[in-house]
Amino acid sequence: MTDLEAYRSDMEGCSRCCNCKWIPLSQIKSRRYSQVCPSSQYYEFHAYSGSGKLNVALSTLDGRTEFDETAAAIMYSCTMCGGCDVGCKSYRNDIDLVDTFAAARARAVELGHYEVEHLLLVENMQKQNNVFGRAREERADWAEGLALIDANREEVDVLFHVGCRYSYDETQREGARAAARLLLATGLRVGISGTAESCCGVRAYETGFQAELANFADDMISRARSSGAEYVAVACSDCFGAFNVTYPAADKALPVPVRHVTEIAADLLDSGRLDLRPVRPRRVTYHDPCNLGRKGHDWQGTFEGRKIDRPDHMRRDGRGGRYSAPRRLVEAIPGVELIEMERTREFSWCCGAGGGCLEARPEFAIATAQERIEEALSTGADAMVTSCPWCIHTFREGLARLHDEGDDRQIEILDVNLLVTESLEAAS
Amino acid sequence: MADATHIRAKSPTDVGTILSAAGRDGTPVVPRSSTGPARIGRGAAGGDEILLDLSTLDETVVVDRRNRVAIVEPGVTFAGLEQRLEPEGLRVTHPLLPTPGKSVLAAFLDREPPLVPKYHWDMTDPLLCAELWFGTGDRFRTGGAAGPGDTLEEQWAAGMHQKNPLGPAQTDLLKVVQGSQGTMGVATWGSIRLEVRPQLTTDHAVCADELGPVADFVHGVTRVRICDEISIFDTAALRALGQAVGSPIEPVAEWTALVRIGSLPFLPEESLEVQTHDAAAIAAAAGVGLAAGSDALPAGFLDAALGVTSDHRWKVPGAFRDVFFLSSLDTAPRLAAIARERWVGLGVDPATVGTYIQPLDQGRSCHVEITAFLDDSTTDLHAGLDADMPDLTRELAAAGAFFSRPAPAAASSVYARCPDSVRTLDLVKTILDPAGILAPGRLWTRSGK
Amino acid sequence: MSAQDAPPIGAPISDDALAELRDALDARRVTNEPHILDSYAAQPFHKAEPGVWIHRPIAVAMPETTREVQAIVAICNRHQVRFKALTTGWGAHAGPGFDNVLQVDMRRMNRILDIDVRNRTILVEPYVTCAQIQAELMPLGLNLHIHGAGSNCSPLASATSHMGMGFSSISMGYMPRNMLGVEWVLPTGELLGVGSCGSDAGWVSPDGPGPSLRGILRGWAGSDGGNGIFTKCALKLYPWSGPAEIDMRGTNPLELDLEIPPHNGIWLCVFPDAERYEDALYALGDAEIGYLQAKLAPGLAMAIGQPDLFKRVVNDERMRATVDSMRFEFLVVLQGHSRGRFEYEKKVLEQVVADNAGSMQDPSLFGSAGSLWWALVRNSIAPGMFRPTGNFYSTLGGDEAVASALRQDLAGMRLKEGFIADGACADDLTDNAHTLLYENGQFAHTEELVLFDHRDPEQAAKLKALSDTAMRAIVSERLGGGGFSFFAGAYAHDYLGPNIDNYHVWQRRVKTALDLQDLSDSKYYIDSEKNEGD
Repeated sequence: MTDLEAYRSDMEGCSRCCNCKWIPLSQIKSRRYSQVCPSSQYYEFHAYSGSGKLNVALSTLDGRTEFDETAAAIMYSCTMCGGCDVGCKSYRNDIDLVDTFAAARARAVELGHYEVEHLLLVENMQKQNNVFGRAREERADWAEGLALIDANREEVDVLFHVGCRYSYDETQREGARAAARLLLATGLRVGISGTAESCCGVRAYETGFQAELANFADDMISRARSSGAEYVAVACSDCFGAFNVTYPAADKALPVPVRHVTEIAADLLDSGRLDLRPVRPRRVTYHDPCNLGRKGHDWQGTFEGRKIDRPDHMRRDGRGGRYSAPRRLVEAIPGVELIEMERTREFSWCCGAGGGCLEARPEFAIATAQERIEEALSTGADAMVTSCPWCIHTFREGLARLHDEGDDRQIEILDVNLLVTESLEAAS
Repeated sequence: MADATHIRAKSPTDVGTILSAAGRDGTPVVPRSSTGPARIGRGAAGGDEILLDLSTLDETVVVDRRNRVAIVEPGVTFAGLEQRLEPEGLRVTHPLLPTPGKSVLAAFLDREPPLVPKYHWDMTDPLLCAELWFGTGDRFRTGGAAGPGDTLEEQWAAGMHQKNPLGPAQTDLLKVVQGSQGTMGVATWGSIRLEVRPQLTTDHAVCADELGPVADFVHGVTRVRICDEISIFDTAALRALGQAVGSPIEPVAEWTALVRIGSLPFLPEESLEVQTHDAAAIAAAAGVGLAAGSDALPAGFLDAALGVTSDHRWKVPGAFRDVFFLSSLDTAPRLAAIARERWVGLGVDPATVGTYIQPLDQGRSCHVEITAFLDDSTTDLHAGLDADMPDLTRELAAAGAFFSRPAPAAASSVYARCPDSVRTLDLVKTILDPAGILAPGRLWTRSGK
Repeated sequence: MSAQDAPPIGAPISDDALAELRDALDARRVTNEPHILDSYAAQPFHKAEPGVWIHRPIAVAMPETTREVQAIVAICNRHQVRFKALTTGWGAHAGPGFDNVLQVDMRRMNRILDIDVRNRTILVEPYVTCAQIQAELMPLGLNLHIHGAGSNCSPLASATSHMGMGFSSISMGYMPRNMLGVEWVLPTGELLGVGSCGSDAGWVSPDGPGPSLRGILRGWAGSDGGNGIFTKCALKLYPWSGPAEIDMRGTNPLELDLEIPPHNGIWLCVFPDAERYEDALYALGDAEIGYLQAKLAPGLAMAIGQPDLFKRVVNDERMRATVDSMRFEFLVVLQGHSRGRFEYEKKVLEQVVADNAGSMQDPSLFGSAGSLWWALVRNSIAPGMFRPTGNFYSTLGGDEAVASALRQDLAGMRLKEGFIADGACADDLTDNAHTLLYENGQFAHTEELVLFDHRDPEQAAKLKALSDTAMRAIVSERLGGGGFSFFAGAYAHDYLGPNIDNYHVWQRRVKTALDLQDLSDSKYYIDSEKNEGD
């Protein structure tokens, strides 16, 4: 929903308890890692918190301030990670923070107060179907040599949507290939759209260019339908969030379910079809990507009426995120010890990449990633594993920056699918 | 010095009348509630002053079992109050061996240290509310006693029993008067928090040559609020206590904690058993024993030492010299050593210097009282110690002692450490005693005065 | 600029003053950007006036040291600018009470400066929260009193500036009585250490030497920013006999998956009538047992924990009667430092309940026992008050003897019936008293909570009248003190004061002595004599 006025009740409802700044009170285990909102931690003034952004947006609606570049800049200084929403929804059923932010960003775009970096991103998407502006013909290069079916030509059981980052980021191609190998291990007919695959469109949506989503969604719906797939598989968590939540919320639900590769692999594990062998021993901590975790909580439909009356079961507080599958995989690998960070699951700290911050607020994004690296290091882990290429990218950037600044602490940033296939290959 | 004008207040309203008149005339007023010789440096009134004797106001206004509260006028003594409380199954936690004429209200207005740490929730306990009269002659009732309801009877009828020790509203003037030694206001009654009297008690001693293990024990039991009276003495202080109560005692170690465990109102036997078991475990962990009183103490020792009804004095009026302050329990021995060394250097027999430590605030801090148990034959020594008191105070304060209840003789040393507080006290004094008639000069010297 | 040359109080801040602030602090920590300022002006909670907005601050300054706080206050004095400090900032009393107030956001002063395990004392800065502290203390076997607003809030703010009752009051007291010393920047900018810290003697006592300045720092209630800025506070700590960390899943405090650790337990104790409920509360106090205790009204508990069910209950007379039959109740958590102590306390609780014809029930109406236990220990439940209707308001609330508290409860219900009938608030089954014991029952707190939605125009419009009605009842029915009406500002003091021994006269004199110019925002305190009646 793009109409900011439609969220007036959400904005007016905020009591300023500030639980949007903290991980849920029940879960706080230290002073150091008690905050959940990267924006509030980095920018400090209340306006940058979840509550504060509601206040800023309401101020513009009430005519107390203009929705000008400053208001927009505050809205854009946010990774849209949804940590605030989890804290808030520990207590409230009637406030949807991230949805309100999205509407405010849409308002910013309407008024021309978008970020230039975001416009470039959208133009890339329009021209090349990917956020990087790379040639659409290169989109399937990552899959070379894999026994994947061309879903444009024949029907498949599983349509694997790879996403922009996996397709074009050469440093992460092995992650994509690992995901594909896990899908192939199902024995099902797994296909890709190849160069016909498009960006999921979610980056345009969350940066306020909401109208752009429809084209990408329609394209995806069309390809999913024509592929004959029983479900769409994704390895990128942002794509998962787009298909599982953003599309249905925009009345563009896919015709088939969407599943993350870790869920599919965990099913294989449970049915004894993954023969995992010992890998190099290491202590591993798992980072929950926002869009697979809390923001991946299935869309519950739109409640018509006053939100204060919204039934409790419609409260999307992150409980429905995908948390166990990647952990089951990691824990099952001989030689790997899983250690949890304090901020996990619904109240995980964000990697910093989301909401267009990687593009428009790179310093903030990197600082956010570094905060997570610090937390991972505090566990004594040798590696931080995750299941989203955007998180991996940002963590690696953050770590490299730390190293550039003379901090020589080491932690491996690893794709969970690669860790699993490493174990499988050790078996073979 | 000429004698002060001695005026006995016949009623609380008398106090207001006297203060109003004194304020108009600029006549200093020194209130006094206790009778008999003062144990700790009560200020003397001079010739141009009014000694406002409140001891004639000696009614125990109410003893309320259900609400565990009594209201006492200034002339009510501990012994007198105890007589009223015992039949009700109540008790007041009192300071060590209050003198026979000691006013309950004055003791707690002066924040004297009560013996039961677990009931000491705040430094102001067990004083709750009070009827105060300021230097302006105005009456003001504090805390829950402020109302609504103009009279106590009206408040009682509304279920209010003068139990809220704070306020009213957003200031708390009793806290300003408490500890002021008469310089900020005069109280004509106060409500006192009471506790249920234990049906059963057992007496114990915890002894060690270093304070450390005893302190470990005290920290352990006060932390979980078990045990009732807990007081710590070194050998000289314990001997003096024994002599005072007519029960000579020969300490078995340098430090002794006297401990009484009282039953709780429900399942008294079991409560005593559980507390004793837990206290013994804590003692064992501290490396000391929880000795039974019957083994470690003369018969009836704690009854006498912890009581209020006898005529015992553990310090000879006029002869002893003492210094007392607050500190942490662990710091106390180091501070006591400073006083001891200084006094010994001035000629005091070290065997007569004793230290009494009273854990307070549920064991977070303690009252430390170092006494030279002198007699009347050492006049020169007295003069030397008196002359040295400001310097001793300075040295102790520099080492971390906090003189929360400064004796007038050393007050200048104490207030020299907190000029910011003095400036603010001046502002408050101007509100409550604009003419400066209340015990002028007793504690700090007002700026420009 | 001298104060004589400065513009009148309440005038917009000058460029010079802003420049001085930016010089005194890192310039990035001073802003007068309107959007950011408005985020400090949205405070729909804890005020009788309708709507979201309060006064927009004229600027926000974010100090990180006491010295910077002093510098800010000095600048405000030079330029006659009102100021108001904010910590975790939940409620209108944390924000500006007037136009053109400088909001001092304390969030960078967020350190735990010292934990003295042996002497059970902690020294904190303003922006540390109770949850953060508790998390750090549990591995040390310690806990702190968490005030009713919840563990998302600053204990320094509670101890110095507001109230401070909570579930743990039965064993940990009232927050201002937990204070062991305060570092205080007076309204003039001078620094004052209250208690032993003022004499460089550590944090052993909040009182003395001689008179206690705690008495002008605050009373039963704090000054809510009307009395300078507090930059450090030492607080008492209490024992924790549980694990270093609670292992659980979930985020909603009443839907957690956890087991209650050994020597801990929670019970809902229900009594058949008011008399036996009162007797039981007195007996519980006498017994000296209990780690946490409070009445959480059954309707409210259900509205928070099971909102959908509550909506059905409200409209079903039979179900209403069933829930209402549990009105005379309290929740109690026992925690034993030893198995023996825990078993003893449990037996005593059983006897107290049996002696008063009560029953000890499974608290599942409120949530799973484990969830509820942890929700009370962490005090993570308070923000749930907003779930049913979006806002609430506290009325009455004068702390006194148990009997007084229970009289207030009944009076509160009678008042509430009228409010509900008038459409001024939501139907919460009428009884919504939050009653709890302090310090082994030595005194008691209660407040009558009113659920409403400030977004509902009718309810918003009627809130002020509701608040005033409750305030008048305090006087006419002698309901234990001014309670929450103290925070209604000068007009409330001028109404209540003459009925409460003229306290307002003395309070105003204290304000005047410390802050003649009325620069420390006195909206929720009292105006100085200079401004009286303005």
